[in-house]
Amino acid sequence: MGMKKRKIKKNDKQNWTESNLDNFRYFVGADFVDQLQESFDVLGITQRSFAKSLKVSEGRISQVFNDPGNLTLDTMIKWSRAAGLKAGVVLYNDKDNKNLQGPLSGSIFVECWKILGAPTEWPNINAGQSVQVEYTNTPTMTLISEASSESLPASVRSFSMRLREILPKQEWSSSVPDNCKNVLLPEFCLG
Amino acid sequence: MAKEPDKSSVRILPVEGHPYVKGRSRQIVFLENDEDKFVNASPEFAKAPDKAKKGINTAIQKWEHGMRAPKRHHGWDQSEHAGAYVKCYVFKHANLRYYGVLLHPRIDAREQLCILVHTTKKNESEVNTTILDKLNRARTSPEVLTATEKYWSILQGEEESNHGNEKKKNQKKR
Repeated sequence: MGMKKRKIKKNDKQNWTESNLDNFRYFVGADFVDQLQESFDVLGITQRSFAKSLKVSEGRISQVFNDPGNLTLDTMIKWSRAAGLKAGVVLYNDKDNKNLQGPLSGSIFVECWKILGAPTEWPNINAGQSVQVEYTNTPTMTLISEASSESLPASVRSFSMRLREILPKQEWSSSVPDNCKNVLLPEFCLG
Repeated sequence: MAKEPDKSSVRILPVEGHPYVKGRSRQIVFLENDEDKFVNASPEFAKAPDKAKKGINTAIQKWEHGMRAPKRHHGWDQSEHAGAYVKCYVFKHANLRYYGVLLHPRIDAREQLCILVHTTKKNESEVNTTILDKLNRARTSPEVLTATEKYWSILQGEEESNHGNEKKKNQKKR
């Protein structure tokens, strides 16, 4: 028995978060959950201890983690604080008016903030002016030698090392010899 | 002249909600094959509950954006299973798994196409290598490679025609 051939629908030309608000909200909630869970790993927090600190059942936490579409701003703030973090809202223009790409993950903004030395005041951003952050959808990676990277700010160097950790290896390993300690930099870091 | 309908039983189709975005290095598509029950990702996704769709869509989008999110999507690197499954990929939501294969359809090695092939519910923590072996066979099958090439040529045609239309518009403006 053959299956029905699926026709190409209008939605094939639209990001799934553009078709309704519910989907967009789900992604934002899921992204919050991902960031929180990642911090659990870093800080050594277990789901059980987290639930205990919030005085809710572990089941409640799992329920929200599996279906984060109805997270309220109140819950996000409360849970962030319970993990020793702060939550913020970012409005940005990624020049994608039709929302073909969908919303970006908050982690992107956090990583860029870290590049700038995690400033808490505006003037500090100017102090880190050697880094020009310009968003591109697919940053071009550039390899520079470890020696030349010494002239770069420490925050940029640490970001580039972090990139090597977080990028799927196949994305950069082809151009990096195994014994080479070169630094991997996205083009925007070079300014 | 009207286009001839695609009579092949092996087809590549876009994933609803994940349109082709020019310039993005990662794209996702479905493989459809009327004659192979293993190739079930597309029809199962179409009838999946809303919550499951949202979860898988989130995982796919994070992958498309190059975000590391091993709880939602991951592959298998050289150190696992002697590197036998480095071209296999999985997207996850709760115990639901959508398996795919990775291809580099154009010259640029950074450009990745993930072809979703199979879905199942996973209840044990062990990796089911039978599924991954079948994925590897699908990835290298001539029918799948032909269907992929065809899909890319259609996309390129669309890109060129869009580019042509833009040129015409600009000429009119002048």
